[in-house]
Amino acid sequence: MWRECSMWRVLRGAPAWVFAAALLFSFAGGAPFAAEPVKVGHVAALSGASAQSGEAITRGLALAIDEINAKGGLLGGRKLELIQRDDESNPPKGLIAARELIFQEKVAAIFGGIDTPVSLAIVPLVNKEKTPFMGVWAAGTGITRNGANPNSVFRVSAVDDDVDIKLLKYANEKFRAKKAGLMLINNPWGQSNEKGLIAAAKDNPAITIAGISKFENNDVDMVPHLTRLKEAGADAIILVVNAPPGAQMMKSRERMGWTVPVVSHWGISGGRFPELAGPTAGDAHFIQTYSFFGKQSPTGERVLAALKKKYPQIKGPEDIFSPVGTANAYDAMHLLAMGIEQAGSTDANAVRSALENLKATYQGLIKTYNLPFTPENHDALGPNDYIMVRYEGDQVIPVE
Amino acid sequence: MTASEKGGLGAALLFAGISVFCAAMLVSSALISGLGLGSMYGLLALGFHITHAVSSTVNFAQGSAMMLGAVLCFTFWVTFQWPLTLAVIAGLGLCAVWGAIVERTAVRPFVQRGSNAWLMATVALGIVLENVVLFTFGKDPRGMPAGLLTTNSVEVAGIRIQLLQLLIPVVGLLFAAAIRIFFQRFHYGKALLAVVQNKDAARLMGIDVERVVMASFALSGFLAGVAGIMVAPLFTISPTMGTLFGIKAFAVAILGGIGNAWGVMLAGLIYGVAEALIIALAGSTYSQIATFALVILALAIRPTGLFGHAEVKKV
Amino acid sequence: MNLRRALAVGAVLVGVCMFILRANGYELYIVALVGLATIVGVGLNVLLGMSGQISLGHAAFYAIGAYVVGILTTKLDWSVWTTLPLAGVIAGVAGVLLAIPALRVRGPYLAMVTIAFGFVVEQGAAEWEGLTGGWNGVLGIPLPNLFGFDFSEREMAFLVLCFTVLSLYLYARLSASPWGKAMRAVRDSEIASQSIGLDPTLIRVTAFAISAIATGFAGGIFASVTNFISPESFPFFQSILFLLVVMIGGADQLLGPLVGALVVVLLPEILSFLAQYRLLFVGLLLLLVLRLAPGGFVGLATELIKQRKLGATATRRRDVMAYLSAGSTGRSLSASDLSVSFGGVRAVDDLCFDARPGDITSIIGPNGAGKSTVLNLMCGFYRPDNGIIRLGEADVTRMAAHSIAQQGVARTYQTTQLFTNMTVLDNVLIALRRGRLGAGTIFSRGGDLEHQELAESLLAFVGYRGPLGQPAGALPHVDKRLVELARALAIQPSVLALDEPAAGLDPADTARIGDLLRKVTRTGITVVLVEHDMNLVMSVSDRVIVLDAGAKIAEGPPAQVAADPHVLKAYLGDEKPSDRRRKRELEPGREAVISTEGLCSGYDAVSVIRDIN
Repeated sequence: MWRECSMWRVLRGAPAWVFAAALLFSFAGGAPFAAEPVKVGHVAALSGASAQSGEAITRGLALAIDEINAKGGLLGGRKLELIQRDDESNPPKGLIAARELIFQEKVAAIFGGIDTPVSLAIVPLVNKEKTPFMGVWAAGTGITRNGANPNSVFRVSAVDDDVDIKLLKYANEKFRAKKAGLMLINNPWGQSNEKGLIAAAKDNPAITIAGISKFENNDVDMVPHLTRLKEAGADAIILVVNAPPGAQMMKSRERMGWTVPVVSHWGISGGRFPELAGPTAGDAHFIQTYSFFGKQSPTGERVLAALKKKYPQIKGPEDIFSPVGTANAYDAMHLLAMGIEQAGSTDANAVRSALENLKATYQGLIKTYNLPFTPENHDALGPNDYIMVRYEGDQVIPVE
Repeated sequence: MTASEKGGLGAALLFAGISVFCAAMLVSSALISGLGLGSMYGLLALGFHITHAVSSTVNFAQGSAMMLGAVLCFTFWVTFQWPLTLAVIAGLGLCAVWGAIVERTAVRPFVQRGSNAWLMATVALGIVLENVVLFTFGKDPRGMPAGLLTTNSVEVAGIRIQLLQLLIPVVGLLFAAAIRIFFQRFHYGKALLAVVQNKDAARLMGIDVERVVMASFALSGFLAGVAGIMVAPLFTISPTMGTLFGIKAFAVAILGGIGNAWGVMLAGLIYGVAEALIIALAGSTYSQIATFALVILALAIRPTGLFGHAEVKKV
Repeated sequence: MNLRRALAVGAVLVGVCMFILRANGYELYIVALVGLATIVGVGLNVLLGMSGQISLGHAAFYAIGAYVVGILTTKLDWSVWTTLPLAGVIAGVAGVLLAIPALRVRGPYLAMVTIAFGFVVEQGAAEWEGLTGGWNGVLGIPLPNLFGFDFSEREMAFLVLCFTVLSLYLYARLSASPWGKAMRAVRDSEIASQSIGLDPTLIRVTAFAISAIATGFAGGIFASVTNFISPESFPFFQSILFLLVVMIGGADQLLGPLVGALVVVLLPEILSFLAQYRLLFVGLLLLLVLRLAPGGFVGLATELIKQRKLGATATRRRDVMAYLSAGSTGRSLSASDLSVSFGGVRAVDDLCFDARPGDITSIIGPNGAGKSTVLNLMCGFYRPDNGIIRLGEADVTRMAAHSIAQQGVARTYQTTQLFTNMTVLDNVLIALRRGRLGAGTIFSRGGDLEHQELAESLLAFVGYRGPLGQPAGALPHVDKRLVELARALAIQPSVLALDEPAAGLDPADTARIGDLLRKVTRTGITVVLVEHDMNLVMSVSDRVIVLDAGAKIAEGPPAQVAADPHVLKAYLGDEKPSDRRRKRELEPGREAVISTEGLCSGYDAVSVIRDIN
């Protein structure tokens, strides 16, 4: 009988329904008006293991935005506004964040984050919605080379395929290694580099791959993995991983007493690697796109000064953590601003065409950019822009 | 020890013996780290055992207590620059306090009501602590500074073992033995056992049952803190480090038969070594699947755990 | 009343539809998530709320459903419409498979099995690259297509809305159906449910299956809505969130999952500036809800708003004696050489007895004699070490308790085992089917008029005079006994076994029970009575069996047994009172050590001691 059905008894609780409806409507009621500022979104790991790197990117973006707004903003006086969302290094969360930024906040463009898997998850969405996406850290090759036409994804950062070539070359030239052992994190970024490294080894007659060991983020003891590589005759370790498991690997290597050279992707530079890895942190040579140490260009001096002013805890280059994030993001923001100015609006198609055909030259931090993007190539940086560094204490010093 | 305990001990020793004979460095190193981690699973599981015995509840906030121990020790020692001993004592003391808080807020109100909601309540408390630590301690994982226990190693049969790795299983077993002695020789320990066996009778004998229950939760928090501090130098310290560890320790407690102290400790060692061996031989990618699938299988075959015994239901 | 409620529901639905029509892509996505969380919550509510089993691994079923749709649509180009039901079915099969180990374990062990399952599925999805794409996940899952017209987010939101309403409707139907009542019975007292013929295993597995099907189906829709899934979409924490949906809303409440989904999914989005505190907030909220409003928000609302209609009292409309006579098959209950030991103690030792139809056979003996053990053996709750138990000619020794009940052996318990969260009427109603539920009744409306009148009549027959809608847990002691008796009679038994029915009753109520038992025997039912109350035993029994330390020491008509010296010795011991001397003489006139003044106490509503000084 309907009467006995508990549904009807409960429905008497009208307040429950009112509450539910209110929730729904309050949610909908927040539809934004046409915004004056030019909004740009940023989806990155702002918490968790890569939080430091996320913060570094934020600083680069913020610095560039300050400069642009100080000069009067874009498109006749509209100020740039940065809207951030935390992806927690989790692709589904990144996807939800991107959705919110596109549909709810109606951003003109989205800056990417640290993790390749997150960026890979967002790429189909931005291509579908044609929102320009600017990668500033995640190096997975497939992010920009995603086969879409039109391709809304751009990047001012390293590209895994090119990084892999450089890593093997460096291991061979610097350490005279002939057989590289690969230690890779078991996730899409690790997989992307596995492909890149295998391809690079094929093209490089001087060095071959002795073995490949994959491990998980949560692993504590990498001794078994390293032992396998050691027994396969590896005389250099190529490392692709983020800081905490990277630190575990270094600790395991130390425990084994194995002094094999370690050549790493930049994953270990995000997060407090020297603190986590201990005394052998300096044994790992890794790749960067920029270093604030040494002689700086005029742009570099200017950015350094601005950083010291805006973030007083930075007294010198040694206090700048994850510098590639700051550098990449700074240049990327300026390039995007140039694209928007050239397009004359925030219309997605116009901005994209403008970026693929930037007329002005930009004296950037990492280099001077002349036609950084073309319809075929959406990566502003190439193998010549990479440098190798290592930790000395808490400082990052170039080794080339 | 009961017959099943003896059988379990024998099986474990046999298992350990066979394992020791595997000479490959691969496996031996895995063995050492497995024993270390395993004894820490065992300590945490011992905490599960104690609180389950006195209150028939499972404390799902146990993993968070372990994380708290590591976090507090780091904060006191590194951030506040206190001497190590003081940092450890303060950290463990606060872990015990946390255990008592868990009991008062998430267990007692529900047990008294006869409700089962303590399960979700302890889960919720674990989430709350994890998030509070997230905002105070910070989101980045931190590392314990290298101390003499980590930089010094000994060489045994061709493998290098850090002093800390040797110390951990020793400490674990010492604590397990200490708990046993505490229960058998000391007045308060016997009171705890009495409460375990018959709450009403214990009350009639003048034992303050509520206080004993709270003390047992505090003890369980203390043990978790010990585990956290001991493994912190091996891991990185982060607010989320306790969740998976707690779940594995829970599996260990269940496997050991949550009502059996020795069984729980042994199950911890077996689990730790099994996990390490699987990683060494098959790669770490399958280790979680394999270990959890084994847990399901073990429970399907022996529903009250490997060392537990079925209770006769009084109808 | 009906019209008002229909209007309320209609108004809300219209409001939601209008919202969907003007919402943007992100808002539509959130609406879909709320709906999906509700559907999963409904499924979990069946498992947790109705059948009382906890699962901390439901994200696994969600994942299975999502991957089924994801893989079949991207790799084999199947349509979403065909893969969605498949998602539910496969998840359901997984649920049944999980139920097999899960059923053997209880409480924390069950929690562990479900957690482990969750991890195995999540990690399995990550490792089985060939099938699932590993950590990369499955990209490009299409939206459904109807008559050549591709769904957009808006249509998906409507679709999810339809399924959400459907799931709530089905829950309401299940709740009122015999299966729903059976699940609650097993939840409230598995033991008692067996004694009315319900098979707890079957019911638990069914609950698991239903729960898994709903969750898998929702997972399949999720895959299509988000268009990208990876193992990271289904972490352990997702299972906790699903549980939160049910508990915050209110377990075993119809609208609980909906309210819970709104809180868990919507609130963090609305308070997105507090996004980082989201989890902290949800954790604290759950704690508050559990402490202050264990019935969840919906439970709280119903308590505050509705007045509990307890319903009328029972009136006798059916001929109970005829009903009982129709069921009693005139079979005796007998045992030969029955023995069982527990941990070295011989609880029952080579017992032989024969309880004849139409007779009241009483079993008495001092404490610890094994009387309840004999009853438990007869009803299948314990398995004897040796010996045979027969019901009539049939050998029922190795039968499961619920099977024996289905054969017509009913019982009551020393401490009443009622289904405390069900009404008095439901307690008896559910027993009428004698455990035969039938697959077709799973969503039936229940509440067959004939059954209702029969249940009422049984309650009136045993002398229950309270309201029918009273939750059984809130009854005073004597009423609990009566309801349990009515429930036992409801299965139309051939044998009625009673374990200390007079315990806690005053002499007047005890006498009434005695009269009732004599009446019942006139229908040909075999009555076996375990009792301590000698007045009752002597006045109603036809035969008395005396046990001591598990063995029979006397048997015969009451008067004969009462005079038997062995029996007296067993009860009172060998020593003559004069053998025991005080060690110290009484010193009169000293101050009292303990005294009472006006002491009153009782159980529930029954006042047991009054004004003791």
